[in-house]
Amino acid sequence: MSRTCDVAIVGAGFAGLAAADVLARSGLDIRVFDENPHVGGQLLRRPGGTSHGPGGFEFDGIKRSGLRLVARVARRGVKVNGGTQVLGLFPGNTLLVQGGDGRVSEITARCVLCASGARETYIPFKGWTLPGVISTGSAQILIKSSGMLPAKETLIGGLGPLPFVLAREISRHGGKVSAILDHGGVLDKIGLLRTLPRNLPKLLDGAWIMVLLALRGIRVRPRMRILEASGKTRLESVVAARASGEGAIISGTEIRYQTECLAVGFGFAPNIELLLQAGCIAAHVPERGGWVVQVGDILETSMENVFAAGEVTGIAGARKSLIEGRIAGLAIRERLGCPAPATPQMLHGLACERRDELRYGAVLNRMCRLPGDWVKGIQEETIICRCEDVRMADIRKALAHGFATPGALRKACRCGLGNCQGRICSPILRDILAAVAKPDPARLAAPSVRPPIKAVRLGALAENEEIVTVGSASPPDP
Amino acid sequence: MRIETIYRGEKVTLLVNGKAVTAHRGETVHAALLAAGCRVLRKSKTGTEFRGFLCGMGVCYDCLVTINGLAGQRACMRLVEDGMEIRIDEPDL
Repeated sequence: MSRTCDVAIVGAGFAGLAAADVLARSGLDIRVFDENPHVGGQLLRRPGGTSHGPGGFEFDGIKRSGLRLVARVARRGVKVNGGTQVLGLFPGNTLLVQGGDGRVSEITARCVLCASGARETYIPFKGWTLPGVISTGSAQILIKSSGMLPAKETLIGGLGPLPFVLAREISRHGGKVSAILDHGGVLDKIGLLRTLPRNLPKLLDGAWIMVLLALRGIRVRPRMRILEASGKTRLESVVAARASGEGAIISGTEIRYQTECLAVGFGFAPNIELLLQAGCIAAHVPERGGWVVQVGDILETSMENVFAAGEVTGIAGARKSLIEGRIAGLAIRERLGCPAPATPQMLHGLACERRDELRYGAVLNRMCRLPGDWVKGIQEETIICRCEDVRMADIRKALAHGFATPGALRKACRCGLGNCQGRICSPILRDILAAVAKPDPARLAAPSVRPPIKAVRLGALAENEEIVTVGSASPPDP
Repeated sequence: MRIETIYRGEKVTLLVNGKAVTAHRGETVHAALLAAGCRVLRKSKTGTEFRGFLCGMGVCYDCLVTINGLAGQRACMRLVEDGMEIRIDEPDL
């Protein structure tokens, strides 16, 4: 593999592929990297670990566009490096990359596009670390990629539309759903009506899901909270109760479910670790799903020739990712001096579509927030950092001793120091800090990220003597 | 729990803690382990709790297992291969 290229794209989901599609037409040398073995991101999973295996006719229009995009990009000769981790982005646009064979190498690109997507966020409760408690996305992945149900019977809980979509998927494949513990209320969904008529198909689909669930006798319980998951070595039962509009638990409403699987989904957070490590400016924007990278109209970050597209600029779904991939692709094409730049009308059209999708995203992200001071209800023994077994009691103790920033808490009790590098606990920790410590906003700075941004064997780094960037400067810990 | 109506690749054999487990090409290691009844994959960092997989997409690092002698591999990010040797922490086997 040559050590230089015109454009390096991190992530082969909707945004990355849409950009690759635009760029490949100009004959540029582009490289696409994705950690997953398959192409197409989280939405285009198919049985057999491919994005185009036999999955039957796809009813969802956006997924159909995605499948067409995958085929088009392949036809244009773009090779996606699957199973490949990007470990860091260094000055001069040099990426440190670990291939599927474990080998680590460097590649320098004239422009970098980060389209690394999103992950799920969690609201912790006692026992959420037990085997058998999984995310709703995780359950979907099992069904879509491996053709497997998470259990004979699954209890589902969370916020937003995903718990409902999962319930349909499970029952469609012959699985049982004990109940949906909706942490939101019926009224929370009314905001979606404001995104009409643009999102009519999605809302009709949502209404259809509700009809199906009712026909199959799946009970939807609004305004519930999970109090505790328990079991000896793995999940055996879950206790949930109803909450008031302000989030206080109503005593006497507790229900116990015997189940070996609980799937929870509380919304999404952008994967901006690579951009933070590189030094791009980020901002905390709740309407966009939390920490997002700041971009201008052409989706360039605060760093020259580093672009961002898709969920990393704000959680809003596949359609926004497609649009942003195109915008970034066109901008990079122009930056690299390719002929036939986009017309102003075309760019204006894309900008308008992007604005509409961001508005839809804002409604969804608002749905995925719990009312009231839910942090107060976290029990002392609840684990916050799953990697390092750090409990709420440890955090409260450290807070009492004056450790009031994520960086200080990391040093005080190892919260965020484990294998996932804070990807799961940092959004939770931010909410805890905002609610409990009430520090000034400056103390809630974006988490600092150091390379390598994904766990890698030291031996893999040592094996390649040509690597020079690992020790170079990274932004200081705030 | 494998869904019967879904297309599956050819059969492969995994060795989980030395015991033969049948899986299908195209399945991830964590899914194959789940189908074999292994929900518990490892002890937590301090050894006080057990962990299984959580996110299924390579983010949480909860599903770390030993694959072909290499420790700390994410079971959700690897596809099964015939003869793969996997080690997990008991007690599910």
